[in-house]
Amino acid sequence: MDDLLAEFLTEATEGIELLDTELVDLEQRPDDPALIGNIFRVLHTIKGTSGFLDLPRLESVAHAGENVLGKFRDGELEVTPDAVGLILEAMDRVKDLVSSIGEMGHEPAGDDSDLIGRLDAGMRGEFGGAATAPEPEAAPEPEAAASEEHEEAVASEAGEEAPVVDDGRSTYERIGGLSTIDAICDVMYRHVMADERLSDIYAAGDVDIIHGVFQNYLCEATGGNKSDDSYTLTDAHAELREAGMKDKHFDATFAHFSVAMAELEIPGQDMAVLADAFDKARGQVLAQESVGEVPADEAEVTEVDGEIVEDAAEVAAETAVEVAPTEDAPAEKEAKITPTSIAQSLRVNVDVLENLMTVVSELVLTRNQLMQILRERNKTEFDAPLQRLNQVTSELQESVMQTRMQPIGNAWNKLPRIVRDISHELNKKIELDMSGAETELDRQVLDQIKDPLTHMVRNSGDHGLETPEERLAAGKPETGKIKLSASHEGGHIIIVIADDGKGIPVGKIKAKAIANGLTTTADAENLTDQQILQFIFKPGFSTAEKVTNVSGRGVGMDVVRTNIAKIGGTVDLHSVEGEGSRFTIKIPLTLAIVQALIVQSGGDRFAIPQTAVTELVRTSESSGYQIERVNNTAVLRLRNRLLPLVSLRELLEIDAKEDQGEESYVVVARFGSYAFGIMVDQVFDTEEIVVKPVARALRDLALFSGNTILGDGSVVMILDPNGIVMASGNDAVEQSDSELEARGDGNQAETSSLLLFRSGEGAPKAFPLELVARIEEIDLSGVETANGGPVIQYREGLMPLALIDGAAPLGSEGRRPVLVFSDLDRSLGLVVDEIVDIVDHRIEFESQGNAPGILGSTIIEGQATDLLDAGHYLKSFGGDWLSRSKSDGAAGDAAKRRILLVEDSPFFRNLLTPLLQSAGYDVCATENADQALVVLEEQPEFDVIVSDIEMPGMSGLEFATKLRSSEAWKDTPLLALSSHDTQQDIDRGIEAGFDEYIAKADHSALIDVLSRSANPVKNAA
Amino acid sequence: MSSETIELCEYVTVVIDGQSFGVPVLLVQDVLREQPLTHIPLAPAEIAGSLNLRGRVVTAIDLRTRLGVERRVDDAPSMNVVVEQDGELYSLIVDAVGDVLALTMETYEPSPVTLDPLWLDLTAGLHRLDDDLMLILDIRQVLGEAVAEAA
Repeated sequence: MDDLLAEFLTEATEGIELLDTELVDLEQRPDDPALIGNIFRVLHTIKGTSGFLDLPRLESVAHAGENVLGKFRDGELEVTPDAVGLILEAMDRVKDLVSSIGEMGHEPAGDDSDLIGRLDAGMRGEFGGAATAPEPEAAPEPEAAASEEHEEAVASEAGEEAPVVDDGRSTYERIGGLSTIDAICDVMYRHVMADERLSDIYAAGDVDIIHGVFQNYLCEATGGNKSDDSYTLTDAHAELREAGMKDKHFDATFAHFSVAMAELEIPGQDMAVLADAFDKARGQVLAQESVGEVPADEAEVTEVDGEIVEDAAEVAAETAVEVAPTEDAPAEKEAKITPTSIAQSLRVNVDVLENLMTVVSELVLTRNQLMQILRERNKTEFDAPLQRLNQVTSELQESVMQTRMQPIGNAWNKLPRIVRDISHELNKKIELDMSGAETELDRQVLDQIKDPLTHMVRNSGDHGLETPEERLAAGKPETGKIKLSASHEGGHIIIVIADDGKGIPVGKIKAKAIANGLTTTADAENLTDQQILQFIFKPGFSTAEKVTNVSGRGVGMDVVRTNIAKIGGTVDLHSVEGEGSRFTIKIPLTLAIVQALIVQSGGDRFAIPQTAVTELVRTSESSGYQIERVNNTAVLRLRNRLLPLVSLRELLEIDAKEDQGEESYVVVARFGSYAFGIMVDQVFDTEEIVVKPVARALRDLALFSGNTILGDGSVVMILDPNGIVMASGNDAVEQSDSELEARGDGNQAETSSLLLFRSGEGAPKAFPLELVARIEEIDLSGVETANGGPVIQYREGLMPLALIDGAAPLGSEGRRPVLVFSDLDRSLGLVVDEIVDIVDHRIEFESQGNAPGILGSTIIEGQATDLLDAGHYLKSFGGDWLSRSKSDGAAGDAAKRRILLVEDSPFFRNLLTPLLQSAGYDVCATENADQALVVLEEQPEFDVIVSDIEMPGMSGLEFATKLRSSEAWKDTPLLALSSHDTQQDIDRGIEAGFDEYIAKADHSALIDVLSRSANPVKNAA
Repeated sequence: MSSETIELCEYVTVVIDGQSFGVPVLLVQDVLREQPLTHIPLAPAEIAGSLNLRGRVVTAIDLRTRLGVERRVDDAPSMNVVVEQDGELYSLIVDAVGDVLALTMETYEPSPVTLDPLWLDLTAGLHRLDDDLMLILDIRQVLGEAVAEAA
């Protein structure tokens, strides 16, 4: 039986089994939407797959049933016992059909028009009394059963013509009909294209035609129907002859044909029939060649081969199937039939591989333990051998992992056929371009990604690409392209599905989202296009205007995303209307060995897959992050939004002992579109773990996805983020990926370079780098005392030295780094313990530091870091250190002057306010231009306005323009403060109405300019 | 004679709360001393945790809880009898492990019908020993409930 068919039967049977109980439930609870949704989905899948496997009875029953369920789901029809009875009947019929197909390899003959008629009537709301018992299936008559492709075309004639075998059925029926013949063609193509002698000959010509012709020929020869009348042999024949198709080529092709039949396990008897048919074709071709004239029939046969080959080229290229190229040996049949590749690979039971994996992980653990023991001792004679053991073990582990890897092309096998199917059905011209098929990933992941990929490609073909007419009208080539590519990136595999179709209509999505109650009109206005696109991942969403057979009724993208999330992957969508859309899927290479974060809760340790973890937050009073409670629900403020928290202790019902303290760490996790924080007691390292399934006895614990053995030999459970989302039952945590990103971006506005250093105990400390003039190292023995404090001779002057609060005393020996702050000819040194790093960091801290001298705390590279208030230290040096302005005249009046400061960054706000205050100004700080306008409205007595340029909402430039256009403020000195200080920036600022443009870091310039601007003579510009 | 040889069975004897039980020796993979266990939150009460047996994860079942007898006093000694069932390893936590006995059907009796129903479920008859009665543990039943629950 065809692989595809077998797979479909397995899936369908599983789906139906699941439904058995749910159908019963439906009778009890007729208005449970989830239940209807499930049944709908199963029927939908059956319908879709049977459509493309050419099982018309199944397809039509499923389709009719789905129609009715669709009405239920949309609430257009009431779920009555009659209606449920009808659905049950339809399910029974589907079940019968599936099991018949399983037994016979094809659909039994029979008529469903009565049932379908009643279902269609049901769709219109007419349920004609209780469901009648399913009519008895017509026993498949041997001859009539050949009608696999078109139910109306009963194959009586073909059956008669066919070579009839003992059981009364034709070869065609027994081998499984069209699908098997199709498969034989496919396999043969692959082999032919890998054969250097043939590939050139077959490389020309149209794949569809050749495929169709050959299929038709074989179908007829074995007693089936023609699968498609549109292909005639004459078209392709000439090409093949020109290419030089000779007897020996035919021999070679025949050899591949035989191999293909053998691979598909065609029974010997049928193989003979097929081989005979093929040979007949050869006879015709050869005869025709010798005569030099081509009777139409014979021509067909030749073309047949040509087509096959072309398809093979595609398939071979796409799936990278290993086929050993036969050498230029003479065309001997035997040699060709036995491909040399057979010897190079062998089938191994998966269980053996799994076992190997287990043993290797045990070896890895033992190795780790040994290393641990020996690490504690110095130099022993074991060092060298252990090093070798270490290396060999790693190699072994890698090799074993390799055995689990399969090219992603294996998941793509179906796609060309599906795309062809779509293009025929929808009259679209579609080209499927696949690259990176050889990219390998774990077979477990491969299995999981198959369905989502298929669905997305189908969607692209159905929703994404336009009809040829539409494309031409839009100035695009007639043929639409779907590009599928895979590549490795770090420990991930990136799969991109892109089409050059019409893109996703943002407007429609928005309207639909509002109509479906997924958002409100007001909220939607504030969403970016990318955010709106995310709605297609919500349940029950579809924009296809008409329901097609191929995809479509909102079954799908939500399931796709969930399935991808289950294997730790993400899916992103990018779409430009009119140009096409692009889905990017990122999935881990393997599920067997994953990076996991080890955490502790109430004395137990757990592993959380790293793929789910986005960041770690340590909460404490000093870190600026605190767990707050809203009606007993824990939340955390993280970057201007609330993150819902779940307590691992509560979730797992762990009784913590008194001494285990608070759950003070938050693991920010993401599952699909859910973001939430998991509160834990303690966070340890990340570790590479081998995921082992949990025992059956524990399998109903949805919170765990597996267990593993850590390097120290202990067993830990692996937490399943999905399970946690389910268990916490909190769909309020839902938010789109792009929403998160967008928020992130919004806050990225101010990144500053920070100088990280250590001083004294506790967290590392940081100053904005721009405040620090130089970093020097001083010899402590050169420190002298002058003016009551330590000083050092520096650049031919005396530089006073200071220590960060809480630092160890200066000492008198050795060297220590000093941060030098400069103000014209004066310098000041802050002595620290150690310079750590310079980092670019987004400054965002919510809480002000409690201690003087600390502005607040932030997390830099996973570590809580105190941001120091430079003003505090500078002031401590004789008060007027920074405030002493060059313009002495201003000092006296400054006290009366009021400054309005507009600055969105809390950091700079907190830095500048004390600085300006210490210089004698009265400062009113606002966060944004809008707020500033309000303040100006209320208290118009400001002498100077100092504004940032880059701010969220109204920018500084707009703010300036606005002020200049108002009567009250058009003359007030207006200073721009910005980190961008190129001439162009300055020009723009002046143009907008600023009087002066000052670099943010240049505080002395600010003070200087202020003292001038605040003078009664208000004419700066 | 021949029937006796055929029905000769070997059991690892274990003691739980003073009562002797027999575990068919063919099922037993290992007998271990008390092992550090990883607690599994939310698991059924009889599941005491999991342990690492040479790189494989073993689920430990406390037979005392399973049999509904008093919990073990904290520092009382215990032993692990590791059995394999359907490819998965389970460790039965017992008070003590005794000898391996080879017994014939001669000493076999069905469990008394008046036995506690729970015990009746979990045992498959008993053997009359010289100075004791040894109940045969039906391992499939002992693990059964947990396994069935999940299925």
